[in-house]
Amino acid sequence: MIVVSLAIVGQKNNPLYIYCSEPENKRKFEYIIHRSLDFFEEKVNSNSSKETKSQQSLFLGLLFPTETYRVFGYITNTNYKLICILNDLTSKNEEVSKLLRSFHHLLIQALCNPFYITDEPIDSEKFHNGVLEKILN
Amino acid sequence: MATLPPLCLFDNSIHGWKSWALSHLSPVVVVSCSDDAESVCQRNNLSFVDLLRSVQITDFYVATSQPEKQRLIESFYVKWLTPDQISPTNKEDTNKILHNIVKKGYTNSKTDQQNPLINSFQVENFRNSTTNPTPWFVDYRREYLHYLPISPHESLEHPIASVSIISSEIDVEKSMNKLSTLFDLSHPPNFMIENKMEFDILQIYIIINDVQLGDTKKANIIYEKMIEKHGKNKCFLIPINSAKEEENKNILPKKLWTEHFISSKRRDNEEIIYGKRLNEKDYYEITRFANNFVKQILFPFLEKKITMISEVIINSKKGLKRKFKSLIKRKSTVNSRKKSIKKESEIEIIENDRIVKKNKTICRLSIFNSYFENAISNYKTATAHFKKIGAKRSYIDTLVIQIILNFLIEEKISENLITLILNEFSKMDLNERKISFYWILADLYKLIQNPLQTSKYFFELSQEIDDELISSLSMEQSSYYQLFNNPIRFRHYLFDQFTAGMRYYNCKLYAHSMRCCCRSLIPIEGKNWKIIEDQINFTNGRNSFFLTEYEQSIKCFKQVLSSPLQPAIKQTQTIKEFLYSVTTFTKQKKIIINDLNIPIVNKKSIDVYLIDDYRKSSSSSKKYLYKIGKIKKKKKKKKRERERERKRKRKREGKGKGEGEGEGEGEGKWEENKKGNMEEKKIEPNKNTILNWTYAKKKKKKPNIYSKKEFLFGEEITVKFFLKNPLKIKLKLTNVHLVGYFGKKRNKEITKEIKSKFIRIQHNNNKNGNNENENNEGDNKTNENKNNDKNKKIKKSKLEFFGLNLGNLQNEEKQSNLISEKKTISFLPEEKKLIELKITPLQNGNFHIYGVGITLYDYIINILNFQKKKKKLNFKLNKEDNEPLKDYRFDLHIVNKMPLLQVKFIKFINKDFYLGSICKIPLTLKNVGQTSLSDLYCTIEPSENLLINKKIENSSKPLVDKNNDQKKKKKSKLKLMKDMFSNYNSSCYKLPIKKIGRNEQIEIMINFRMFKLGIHDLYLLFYYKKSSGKISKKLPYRLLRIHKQIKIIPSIKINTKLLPSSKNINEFNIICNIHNLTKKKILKLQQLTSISNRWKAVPLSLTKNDLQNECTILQPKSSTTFLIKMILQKNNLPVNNKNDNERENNNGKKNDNGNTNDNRNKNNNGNDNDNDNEIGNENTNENENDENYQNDKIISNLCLNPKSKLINCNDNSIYNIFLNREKNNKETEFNLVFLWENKRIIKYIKNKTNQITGNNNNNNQKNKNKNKKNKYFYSQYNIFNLEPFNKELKKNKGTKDDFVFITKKSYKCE
Repeated sequence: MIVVSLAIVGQKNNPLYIYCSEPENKRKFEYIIHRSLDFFEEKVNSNSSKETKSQQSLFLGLLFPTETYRVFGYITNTNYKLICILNDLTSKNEEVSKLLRSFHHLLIQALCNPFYITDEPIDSEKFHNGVLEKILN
Repeated sequence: MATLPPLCLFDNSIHGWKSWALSHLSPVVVVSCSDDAESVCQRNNLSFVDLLRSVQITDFYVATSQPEKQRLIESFYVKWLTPDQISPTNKEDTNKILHNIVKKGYTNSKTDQQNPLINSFQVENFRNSTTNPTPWFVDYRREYLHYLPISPHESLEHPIASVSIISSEIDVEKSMNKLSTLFDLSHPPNFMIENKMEFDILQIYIIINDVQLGDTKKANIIYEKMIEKHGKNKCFLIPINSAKEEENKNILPKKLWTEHFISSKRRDNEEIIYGKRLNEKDYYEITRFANNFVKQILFPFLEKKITMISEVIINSKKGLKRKFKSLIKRKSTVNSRKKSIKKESEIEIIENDRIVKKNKTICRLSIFNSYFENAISNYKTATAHFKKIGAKRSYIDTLVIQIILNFLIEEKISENLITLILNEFSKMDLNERKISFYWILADLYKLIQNPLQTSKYFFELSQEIDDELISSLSMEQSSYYQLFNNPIRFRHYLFDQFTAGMRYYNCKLYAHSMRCCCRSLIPIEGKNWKIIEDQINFTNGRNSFFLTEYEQSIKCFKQVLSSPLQPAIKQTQTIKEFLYSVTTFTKQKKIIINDLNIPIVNKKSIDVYLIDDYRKSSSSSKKYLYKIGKIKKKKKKKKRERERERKRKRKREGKGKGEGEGEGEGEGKWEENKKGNMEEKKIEPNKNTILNWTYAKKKKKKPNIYSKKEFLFGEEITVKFFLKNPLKIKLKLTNVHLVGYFGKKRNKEITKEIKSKFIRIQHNNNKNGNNENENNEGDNKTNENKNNDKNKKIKKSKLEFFGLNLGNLQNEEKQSNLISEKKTISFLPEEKKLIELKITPLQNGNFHIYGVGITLYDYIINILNFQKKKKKLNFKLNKEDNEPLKDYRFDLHIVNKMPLLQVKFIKFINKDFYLGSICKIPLTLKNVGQTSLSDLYCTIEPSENLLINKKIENSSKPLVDKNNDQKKKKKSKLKLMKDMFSNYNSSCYKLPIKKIGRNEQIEIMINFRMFKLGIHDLYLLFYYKKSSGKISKKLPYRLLRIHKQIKIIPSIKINTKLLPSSKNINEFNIICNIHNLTKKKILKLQQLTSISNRWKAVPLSLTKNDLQNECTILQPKSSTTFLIKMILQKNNLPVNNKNDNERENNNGKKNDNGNTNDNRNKNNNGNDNDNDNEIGNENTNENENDENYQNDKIISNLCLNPKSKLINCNDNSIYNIFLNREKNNKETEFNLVFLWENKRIIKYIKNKTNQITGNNNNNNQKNKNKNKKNKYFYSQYNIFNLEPFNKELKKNKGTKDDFVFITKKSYKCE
C-alpha cells in the first residue's frame, strides 16, 4: 500500500494540509483532492438518510478510482475530511481505514494545540513528522 | 417523459425525446435540383430542400405485413439532403465553419457581458435560470453532425430515394434530358461511389411552375411527358410563387422556414425575407407532395424491398449450403479437400459479405417501414448473424440502433447493451464510432433527465475526441450537467469548466476560455486552493492579454505572483508574461500596481524611530540624559537600588546555603540563563545534583506604539522593517523608498465603492448607448462631448478597479514636502532582509507614513502598505474613560522648526592613531536646520576601550568658560554631568559655543586617547537646543549620534629574552629591547616592577642609563636595551598583601559612597562580582600565594633541566604596557608589566620610591576561582581596577582624569 498523497480538508472545504510524495504532481493531486469533496457530500448525504453513525461510518471507503490511483475518504464527526490517494490498486479497505484512523488521531492532536488557529493550514512539524512516520511505515 | 424535460433547455432543436430519436432514425432522400428550378425557389430566398424540410408528415396509417392491422404513425421525419450535403466536405473548411459558429455565438451573447469577471456566472441560481449558458452549442452540434462524413459502415445515412426537380422555365425538348441527368444511376454521383452506397433506390421526378412568372401550359406539357416516361406515381407538378412580389411581406410565418435551417447564420439574418412569394396554397401543394411521397410511394417501396431482400437472403443461404455439399461430394481425397476448403472459404467470405450488406439494408429499411416494433426483432436477428460471421463493425452498429429502438419503445436505456458496446469498442480501434456513440448516450441521458450520466458521457466524449474545439464544447456541457446533480458537484463543475477553458485557449478562442476560467474560479474563491487558483489565474492572464484586456491580464498575473507556490521556472515565466502585458499596456511607461505582494513586508517587525531617538528604552543615551537632568532621576535610582538589594539578598541566601551544607561548588551559583526565560528553577532536595540557578533576563521593552509621537521639521525619521522575497528566483528592487502624505486623508484607495461605481458607469453607458440611437441628429455634438467624458470616467474607474494607477504617478514620485531616501536592494530566492529607510518631512502638521514604494523591473511601481495594528483596549484607565488604543506608529505629528546639527570629520578617514598618544580630531559643526541652536553638549558613549579627554578644544579657547560668573549654575550642572559620565569612562562637556546660527559652520578639535589596539567604534553624542522661539514640550532638545571607526596601532615594541642565570637556579636574566614606533613622540621609561610576590626584579645592567636613577628616554623610531635579573624569593611572605587589602578596603569604601565600582565591574565582567570578591578576599589570597609558590617551583625545576630551552621571546612575548602620562611631564612615561604564560611576573618600578606595589595572580587557578581570575584578567583592561597604581598617582598629585593604557600580547615558553 503506497500512499501517494494525503490531504486534510477543513470544515469549510478549505485545505488544511496536503502531503504529496511526488512534488512535481502536486497540482494533479490537488485537483483530485478537490474533486473528491463532491463524493464526500454525496456519501454523507446517503449515510445521513440511513442514520447510522458509528465509528465505521467515518470511513467512507473508496470515493472514486482514477486510471492510476484510488481515492479513499474519511470524515470526522466535526466534518474534517481526510483524503488518501493510493498508488496500489489492490489495497484493502481495512488497511486504509486503519491508516486513516491513525491520521485522525494525529489531526486531533494538532487541533488541540492552543496555538493552532482554526481553519488555518496546519504548519506543525510534529504533525508532519507523524504523518510521514505513518506513511513510511 | 412526454413533457419537455428541463434539461433540454440547452437544446432548442429537441422538442421531445421522440423527436430526437426520430431525427436519428429517419430515412435520407437525395434532392437534386436543376439550376432553373433552384432559381425559381430562390425568389423566396429558399432552396427546394428548405421548402421540403418545413413540411411535417403526421398522422397516417401504414399497411403492415398483416393487412388487417394498420399502424398509425403520428409523425414521420425525412432527411432531405442535397448531393453536396451528403458528399464529404473538406475537413479544414468544415473546421472553419464550426469555429466561426462558436466564435460568433459568444460575441452575440456577449452584449451584456463586457467583463466576465464582473458579471460572474451565478452557480447557485443556475438551476432556476432559464438562460442557456451556451446558445451556440446547439447550432454547433447540428452542423457538426451534419458535416460528419458518412461512414461506409453507417447504415442509416444511405439515401433511400432521390428526387429530381426541374422547372417550367426550361425548354420542353431539353427538359427530359435534363431530368434524367440530374440523378442518373447509370452514371451514379461520386458520393455514392465513394461511400459504397446501394444504387437500388427509389427515383421521383418533379416539375415546379412559377405561377406568376412561369408558363403553366408549358409546365403541363413537360409533366405529361414525364408521366409518359417514368409513370404517374413517380411524377409530380408543384405550382409555387402564387403571391405577388410587390407585397414584399411574409405571408407565411418566418419560423416555418428558419427553424429547419442548418446554418444559424441564416436563421439570425433579419434583413432577408423568406418565402415572400409563397402563399398558403403553395405551401399546401408542397405538403401534399411530401405526404403523398411518404405514404403512397416510400412505404410501399420499403415493404416491397424488404420482402425481396429477405427472399434473396434465404436463397443465398440455401444456395451456399448446396454449394458446400456438392463440393464435399466431389472431392473426397485429402489434397483435393484442402483445395476445396480454400475455395469454400473464399466463396463463404464473398457470400457472407453479400449477406451482411443485405442484412444491413433490411435492418435499415425495416426501421423506416415497420416503424420500430418489427425493427427490433429484425435487428436482434441481424446482430446475431453479424456476431456469428464476425462482422464486428456491423454488429456494433446494430447494437447501437437497438439501444435507440429500445429507448423509443420501452422508454428505457439498456445499460447492459452500453457496457457490451463499450467493451467491443475497447477491443477495436473505432474512434469515430465511439465518439458518435457517446454523443447518442449523452443525448439519451439528457432526455431521461439523468445529469450525472449526461455529464459523464459528455466528459468521455471530450476525452476521446482529438479535435480541441468539440472537446472543449462537450467538456463545458459536462460541467453544466454537474450542477444538476443532487447534491451539486461544484468541484467537478470547476474542473470541467477549467479544462474546457484550457481547450478553448488551445483553439485560440480566448473569450470562451476567459469565460470558462472565470466561472471555474467561483467555487474556490477564498477557500485557499491556491495551486488551482494560480493555474486558473495564469490562463486568465494570458486570455485577457490576447483579448487586449491588459488591465485584467495584469491583475490576473499579479494574483499568481502574490502566492508563490509555483516552481522557479513557472515563476520566471509568469513574471515575463506579466512584464510583457504591463509594457504593452503602458507602452513602456511606468505604472503603479497596488497590492502586488512582491516583496512581502513583515507586518510585525515595522518600527518607526529616530536614529538618535532618546525615547528608545534600550538606548544608552537615555542614561546620559537623565544625568544631565532632562529626565526625572529619582524614580530610576530607587528602582536600581531595589534591584541591587534584591540581588544581594539572593546571593547571600544562595551562598549561605552552599556554605552551610558544605556541598559541591555548583550550589548557590547564579548563571545566565541562555534561553532568557522568566522562570526560575527550583532547588531539588537531591544534594548530589548540581543546580544551575538562573537569572531571568530582562526582556527588552517594546516601543510604545499606542502613543502619538512628535517629530521635528526636517528631521530624518527611520523606519525599520523586514522584507522578504517570496519568489524562488532572484529579485532586484530599485527606488525603494518610504511613502507618506500630509493631512487627514490619502488619495482614494481601491475600494468596493470604486468597484460598484465602475459597474454602475458601465451599466449606464450600455443603457445610454441604446438610447442614443433614438436621439435626434442635432444633439450629436453634445452627445459626443458627454461620451468622451464618460469614456474617461470609465477608463479611470476601470484602472482603479484593477488596482492600477497611471494618473497619480507624478504625485507619487515627486513630493516637495518630504525627502525620502532611495535604495536599491537585490534579493536572493526567498531571502529575508532587514531594511532601514529614512524619510524627512519638510512640513508641519500630521504626517502619515503609509508604506514603501518600490520599482520592479523598471516599469512597475509597487506600493507595499504598512498595516496598522488593531485597536487595543486600554485597561489602565478607568472604565468610563476607556477608549481603545490606536496604533500611532505611522501617524506622526511634525512640530515646529528646529535646528539641525550636522557634524563632519575633517581628514579623519584612513588615519591611524598610536596607542596611548593623544589623538586630535578636527570636527566641523554645521547647523542646517531652520533656526539657530544653543546649549551644545558633547559626549562619547560608553565604550570599554576608549576614554575621552576632558578638554575639547575649539582652536585655542578653553572648553569651559570658568571666568564667567553668571554661569555658576551651569557649572554646577556640568560638574554633576562629569560625575555621572565618569561611570562610563567618558564625560559630557558643554562646548564653548553660545550659538550656531542657521547654516553657520564652526570647527572644533576633539582629543582622545586609546588604550587598546585594533579597530574601534567611536560613538559621539551631541545634545543641543533651540535658541529662541517656542519650544515643543515633548521635544525640547535634539540629539545627534555619530559613529566612526578608528584604527589604533602600537606605539612601542618590546623584545625580551629570558635566560637562566649561571649563578643561581632561581635566578633569571631578562633582556629587554624597547623600540619606539612613533614618528614624532618621545617616550620615557619610568619604572619596572615585579608584581609577583615571590619574584623580585633587580636591574642588572643598562646600556646607557641607569633605571634606578634616570628615566630611559626613547626617541622616535629608536630603541634601547637593558637587563633585569629575576630572583625567586621562596620563603618570603607576599610583599603586597597589605597593599591588596588596602585596595580592597578602598573599593569597599567607594561602594559605600557611590556607584563607581559597580558600574566599572559591570563594564568589565558583565556580572556582579563585586561583593563576592570583597567578602572572601583575604582567605583566597592565602591560598593563592601557596599555589603560586608551587607553580614557581615548577618553573625553577624546569629551568634546571638542561634539555629545556627556556624562554625564547620575540616581540609577541610582551604582554602589557602601561603608559602613564603625568600632568607635569610633557613627555610620556610608561610602565612595563611582564607576563609568563601561566606564571605572571608583574612588575612596575617607580622612578622615585622603588617600592613594589604590584599584585600577584596565577592563571592556573582558572578552574578553581573563576571570579577572581576574571577580575584580574579584566582588570588589565581597566584602569580603575588597578587602584594601587592610581593611588600612587594620587599621591603624586595625579587625578582620576589621568589615563593608563594597556596592551596585551601572547607569550609562549617552549
